[in-house]
Amino acid sequence: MGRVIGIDLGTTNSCVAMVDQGKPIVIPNTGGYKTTPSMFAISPDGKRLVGHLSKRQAITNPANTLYAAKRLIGRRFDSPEVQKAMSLCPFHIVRGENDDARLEIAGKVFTCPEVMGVIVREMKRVAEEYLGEPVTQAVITVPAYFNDSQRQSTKDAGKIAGLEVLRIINEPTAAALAYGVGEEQEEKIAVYDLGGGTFDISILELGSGVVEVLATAGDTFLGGEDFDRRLVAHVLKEFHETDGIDLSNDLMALQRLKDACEKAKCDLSSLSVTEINLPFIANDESGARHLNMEVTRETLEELVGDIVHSTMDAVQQCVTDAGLTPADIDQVVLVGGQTRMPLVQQCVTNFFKKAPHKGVNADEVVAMGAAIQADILASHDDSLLLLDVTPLSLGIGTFDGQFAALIPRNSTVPTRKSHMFTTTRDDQTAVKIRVLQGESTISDENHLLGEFVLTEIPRAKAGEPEIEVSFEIDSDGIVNVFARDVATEREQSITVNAAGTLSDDEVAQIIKENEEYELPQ
Amino acid sequence: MHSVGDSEQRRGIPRLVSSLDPTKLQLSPEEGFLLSRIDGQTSWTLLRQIAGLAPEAVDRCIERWLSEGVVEVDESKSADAEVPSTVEGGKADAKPVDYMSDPRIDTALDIAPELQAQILEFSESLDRSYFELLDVPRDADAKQIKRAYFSLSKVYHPDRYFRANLGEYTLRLEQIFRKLVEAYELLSDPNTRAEIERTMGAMPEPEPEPAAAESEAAAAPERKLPPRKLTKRQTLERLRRHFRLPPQILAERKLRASHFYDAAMVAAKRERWHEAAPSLRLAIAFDPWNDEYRKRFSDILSRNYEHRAIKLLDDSDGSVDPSDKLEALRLLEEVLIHRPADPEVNNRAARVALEIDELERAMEYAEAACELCPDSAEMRLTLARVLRRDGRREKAGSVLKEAARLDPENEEVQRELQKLRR
Repeated sequence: MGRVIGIDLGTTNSCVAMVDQGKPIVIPNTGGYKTTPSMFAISPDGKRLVGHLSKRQAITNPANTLYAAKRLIGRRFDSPEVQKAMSLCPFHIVRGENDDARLEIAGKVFTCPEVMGVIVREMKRVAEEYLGEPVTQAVITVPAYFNDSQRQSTKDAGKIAGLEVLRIINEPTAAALAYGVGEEQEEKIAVYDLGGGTFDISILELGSGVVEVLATAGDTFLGGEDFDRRLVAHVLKEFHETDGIDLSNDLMALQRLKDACEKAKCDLSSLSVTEINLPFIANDESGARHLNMEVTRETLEELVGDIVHSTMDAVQQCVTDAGLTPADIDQVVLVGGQTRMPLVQQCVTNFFKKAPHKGVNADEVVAMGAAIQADILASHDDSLLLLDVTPLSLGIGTFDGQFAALIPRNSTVPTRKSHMFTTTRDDQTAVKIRVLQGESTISDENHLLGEFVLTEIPRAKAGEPEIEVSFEIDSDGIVNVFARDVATEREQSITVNAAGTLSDDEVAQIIKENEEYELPQ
Repeated sequence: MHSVGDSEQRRGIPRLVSSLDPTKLQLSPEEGFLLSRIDGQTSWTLLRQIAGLAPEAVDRCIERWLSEGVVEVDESKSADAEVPSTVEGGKADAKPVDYMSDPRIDTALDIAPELQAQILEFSESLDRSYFELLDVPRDADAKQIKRAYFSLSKVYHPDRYFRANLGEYTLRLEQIFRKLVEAYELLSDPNTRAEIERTMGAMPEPEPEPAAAESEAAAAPERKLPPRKLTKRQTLERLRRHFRLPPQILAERKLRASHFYDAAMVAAKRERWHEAAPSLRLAIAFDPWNDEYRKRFSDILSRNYEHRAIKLLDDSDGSVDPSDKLEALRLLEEVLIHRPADPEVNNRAARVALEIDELERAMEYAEAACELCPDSAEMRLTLARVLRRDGRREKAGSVLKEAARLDPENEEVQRELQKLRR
């Protein structure tokens, strides 16, 4: 059996790690970097470029360079998040056959799992190059707040990349694993993860070699990129005011600006003032124009202060969900590059009244945790056990548009719950079961995972038939739903294959197509 | 059904008093063998089954040695110390686990037989109180409850056996784990815990020990082993891969396996199959890679079944209960799995089936017996009887004539011929 790897499949950067002689190590890519940009591009001459190569040419080829596909994965085209992304991304987002969002570059349409699959394949390649042997199995991390569709799609990405995904685990849980558990003392840990594209907060309890997720909350559409975008908007506006030039429709200028703003943002974590310097950003009657602007830490903090504070609402909710108060938390762990920002650290410190833990590199800790979990599973290590929970409530839509949750969020998996339902009309012979995931009491505000129809119910008065609906989440996080008419014993079940995800056939088709690109290197 | 008898009183692990020189004792070879099995590891319960003596004789011997000061019993170790107690801090369960004779133990799976027994036992006792499930006292504090939940999770969470071939145990593990979560959640919430304590206060204290035989009887009928997809060789390969044990433990296990094997062979020599089979099962449990043990197992197991069937059919006390006949038929069918080409067994099965009016099965076995042993008048006689009962008198007649030709002296055949003519 080959080695198993852990992959932190990030919105902006990805990282791969493995356990070597009992210790997790991060595997550097050929350039020596420990993280690889989650970017994929097609060059003007039709070559596929991934990672750093892709990022390096992004400035000159913005319309054919894909990034942040993780924000779209497993989402419906009509969802507000996809619509929001469409207004911001330099590449085209189109409606897919399953109502999913697909990405179009160089005249070719890619599904999100396909794009993420390219990144996973790159991480696989990095590991194989380092190890000198093929790698076939991996654990991949996702934000704790990912719903079933998003998790399934991430699994598909792994499959497309030629990997067997042993398990999808939550990023904060992975972080906790990497911060070293198995020590005897019991502690409660808050993991605050602000990455490039997503934000998560989780409260975990560790002790006797068991990691238990007490509660988790977050926003899959909030991260460092929002900080960049605020800064870009600010610079665009300033430049418009001072130089009278609107750059907001100039793709090349926007991409340069985005890169410069990202760098400025990082600089401002250690400096109080920095400079954005972009020569030859535009041309007008008077000739070449340069953008040269000073940005202070205060300006940045003003621009993004509300985002940072909004994360603290989720932190409060999560602590309450766990049945705790901030004072009960023994340790606070920061994950994700954006937590290097002093304002973020300050807010977290104020909330918990204690300084966050700094040990492992915030960019690498998730991949290391994934590697640890991969190793635990593959080697049947009995010193450590991860007790994971389901991040969102699962339930069904009722006839009056309400949502009846059967498995509440933060239930430990595997789990199974049943509930009795009935008909609403006389002589009703069929019942449609809509399976949803989310926290709203209104069913339409939750994420539709799938639907099926239970038929051949014997005719009876409304309210008389008894229909038992059971939800099951197995230890792999796969959702199964069974509906049973108690009188006839007629049973119907589905393995939820969520709307917005790919069917097995489609995944197989993509794998086949990709093989054509597998040219000898 | 195996009988538990008074084994529950036979607790603890006998060991030799260290100052003693066993050569000074006056022992029969059987007693000597029993003494040699006492190693300070094997429980009294197990000794009763592996010593090649009747359980009562084992008891008598050990009791005598106890009174003579030859052995002492370590009461602190419970009888089921045989089952590696992985549950940290959990107090040893007093109930002996009689797992050798449980047909649901499948040595082809990726989990050790000891653990299978442990899982079976736990999953069949899920209706205990939440406190008992977590093995905590009623006044346990939140921390104790959490510790107990964590340590039990480390044994029963399905992830512990990730991608291993667990057969039906996958479902059992999930069932156990869900129940543990339920117990932990309800006892961790002060409101629900108070509610539970109120209801429990209204009930009498739990019965000390439910009879092991009963709980197994209740769960046994619907059990069906899943079809095996892997060859034995493949499964063994996987077993090796997943559960690499340190060499000294492996050596220890092999040594113990050989002791059990010796005991099994001693019992087999005396045709005490009911003692040989469980011993051999234990040998395989401790050393699943030994092909020799496995080869012998199929034979001894089928002998044991046959022996039990014959015992059930023994009508020396006048009558045989129809349910015993049914059980005997089932046992004979088990034997046929191992020895399908044994004409005697086929013939016997046909007769039992005929007696309880299972004509279709009777026909099948009677025909098989005749085919396997075409020169036997006895087998033809059985077939003729089945045919007659089935109303096929003409065919019965021709079979009987053939039987008469084979053995003209056989009175039974003559009587049957007369019956047919009437």
